Amino acid sequence: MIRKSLLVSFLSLLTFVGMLSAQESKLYTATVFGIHSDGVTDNTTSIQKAIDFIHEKGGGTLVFYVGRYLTGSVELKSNVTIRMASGAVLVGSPLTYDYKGVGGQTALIYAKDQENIGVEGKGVLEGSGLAIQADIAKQVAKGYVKNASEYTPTLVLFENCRNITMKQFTSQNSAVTAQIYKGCENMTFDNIYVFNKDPKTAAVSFSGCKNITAKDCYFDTPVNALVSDGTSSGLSFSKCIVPSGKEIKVEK
Amino acid sequence: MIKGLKLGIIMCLLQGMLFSVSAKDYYITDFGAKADGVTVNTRIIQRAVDFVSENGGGRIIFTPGGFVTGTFYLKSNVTLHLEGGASLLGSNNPWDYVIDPKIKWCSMIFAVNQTNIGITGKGTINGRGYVTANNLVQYIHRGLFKDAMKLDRPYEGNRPMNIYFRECTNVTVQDITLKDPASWNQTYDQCKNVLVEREIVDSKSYWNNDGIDIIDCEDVVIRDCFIDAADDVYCFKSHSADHGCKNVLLENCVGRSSANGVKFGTVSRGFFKDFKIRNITMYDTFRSAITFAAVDGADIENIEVDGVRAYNTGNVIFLRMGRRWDKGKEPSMKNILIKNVYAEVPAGKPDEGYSYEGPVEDQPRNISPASIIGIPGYRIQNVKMENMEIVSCGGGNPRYAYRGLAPADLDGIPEMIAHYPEFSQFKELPAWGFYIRHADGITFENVKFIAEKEDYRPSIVSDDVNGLNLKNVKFEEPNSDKKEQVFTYKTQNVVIE
Repeated sequence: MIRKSLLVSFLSLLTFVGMLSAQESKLYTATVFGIHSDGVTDNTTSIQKAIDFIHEKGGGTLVFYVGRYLTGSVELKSNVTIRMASGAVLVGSPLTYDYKGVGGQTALIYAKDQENIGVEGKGVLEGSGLAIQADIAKQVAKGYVKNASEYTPTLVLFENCRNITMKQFTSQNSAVTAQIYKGCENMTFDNIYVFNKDPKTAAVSFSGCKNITAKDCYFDTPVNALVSDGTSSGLSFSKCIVPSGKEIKVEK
Repeated sequence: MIKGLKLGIIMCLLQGMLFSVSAKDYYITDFGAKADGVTVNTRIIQRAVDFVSENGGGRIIFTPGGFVTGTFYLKSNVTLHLEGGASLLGSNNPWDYVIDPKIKWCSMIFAVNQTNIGITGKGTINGRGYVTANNLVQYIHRGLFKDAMKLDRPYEGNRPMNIYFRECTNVTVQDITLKDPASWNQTYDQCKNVLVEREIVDSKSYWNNDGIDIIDCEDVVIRDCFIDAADDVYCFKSHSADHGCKNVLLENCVGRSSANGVKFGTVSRGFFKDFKIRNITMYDTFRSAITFAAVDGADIENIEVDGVRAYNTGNVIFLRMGRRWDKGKEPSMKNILIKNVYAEVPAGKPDEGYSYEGPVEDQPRNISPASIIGIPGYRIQNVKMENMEIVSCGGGNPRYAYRGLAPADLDGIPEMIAHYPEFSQFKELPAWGFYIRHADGITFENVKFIAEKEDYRPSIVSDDVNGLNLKNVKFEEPNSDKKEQVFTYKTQNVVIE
């Protein structure tokens, strides 16, 4: 009898520990959802399915291991983090109509009205900026697209989101400013690296945001790294530098 | 008079020119689509359709090559034109498909509530459904997609078919080849004015691969098609008790099927009226060359079938009423004329070697007769069979399966009112040529029944029939000189000439 109750309590302890670790951050690997790392397969709907599934299951981290993952726009949802592990590259599609977004701006990863979201890991978001600009230019020339800017994607676009963590990854070759944040709150940038040479675009843009903490970031862009229209508040930047070694200064 | 005719011709020419001027041609590659068999073009095709529809309509031309795509929606005044050598290839990624929220089915090409739409050209739509369906199975087992996996396969509504048009008017599908969907193939549901012609269909890649499904459509022409399908070939359904199929012409068509050739049903809620079916050939059919089933409350009325060749078919004709899902709506079947028929029924399994061949039955059953089988209170009325020759393998052996002619034997044939309708559902029937039950006004004129081997049963058995007319009906069976080939039971007004 005693042994039985001991066993029961041991089992329930195990279950409890299991639940705890599950709540910390449940990891989902990309292949579970049929996402392919070959650089050729269009993974758009598979990544979206993964995000929707993790979101519906209460949240977790979608992990991409080494490889090239071709995709069009995906919509990030509450409690989901995308982790690009070392050597993993999320490659933006070079095709005009593969992108969606919010508020007249398209993006590789976009979110609206979500919370507890982020991107992390030692991998890369690749914007394929020149290729996508060239494809859009063709569509403009054919007359199928009137306003190119409505179709030109950024890498990350979050609107009206809260509790955002962007950590460690590289974002490169965005066709416009690499990361755009509108009306967001409680944001942490830690160790992110933005590399934009072609096209000539900025690193990060804020408007109407609150409580932004950025540290140890490196922004290598041909124009001003930071775009802020003065409508954001609570910005705290430390050791965020550009190639000249200058630290980025921000309004209070 | 001649002047008027000339004027008419000129007007027609002018109209034709006007039409060709207003309907512009667009090349899908100009929208950035890649015919490399790899790029998923879903969003590009959707954008092209939207653009063309919003700008006055026209044709979207697919040049030779393989265009991979998932679900997109065709819109008013847009025709997809697939040039010879061009293929729309179904993506093998199940997540690339949409289950339409209204229709609750999945398809590569949807159109809902659109007018003047079409798919033309000698190109191919290849669903590549075998791989897609099996990929979906993997996702279901991983818990990523909910499906009860009844019969250990995903529900057919969760697997993409090639085409699903719903509530569309003026639909034209010409010349294309349709291949290998993961579910049904092409469905036209509550559409009006539908033309399907010169189509080739090869549809045997997964379970439920029908040839063509016409659901609750009016003014339909299907002609000059060749369809090879694992499931029913030319399939007419009625999903809605308030709708039905009406004014349908099916002509000059060939079908090969591991199920039924021409079928009304199985879902048969509303009506099937005013059909003309002319010059059709059905072969290798596991079930019936022709099945008309009203088991969910449908009214079947004014059906003319003229010209049927059926080779290697498990069964020739099966007319059946029942009460399965009718929720109180009462079925009826009347005024059916079937003429100029030549059919051969073999001893073996007609669809042997097919992918997804028909399920082996729980035996025993000797070869089944053609049949007209109503139910008590709901009689099949006024059916005429004219100019027919049915060659059956015969050879029914009473030691294998037996159904005699004694009242207990005939009354012992189950009614199976609520069952799925299938010619073989009653197991052994007491005739080798034709079995008729619960019917009024049945006429056979110039009909020849041939059994290749001696059979223990008579050719024709009727049970509870009022009005059975046999004019110039002949029987050939080895060693049967004195055999009575017609047996009537509870049958009134029998005329044999």
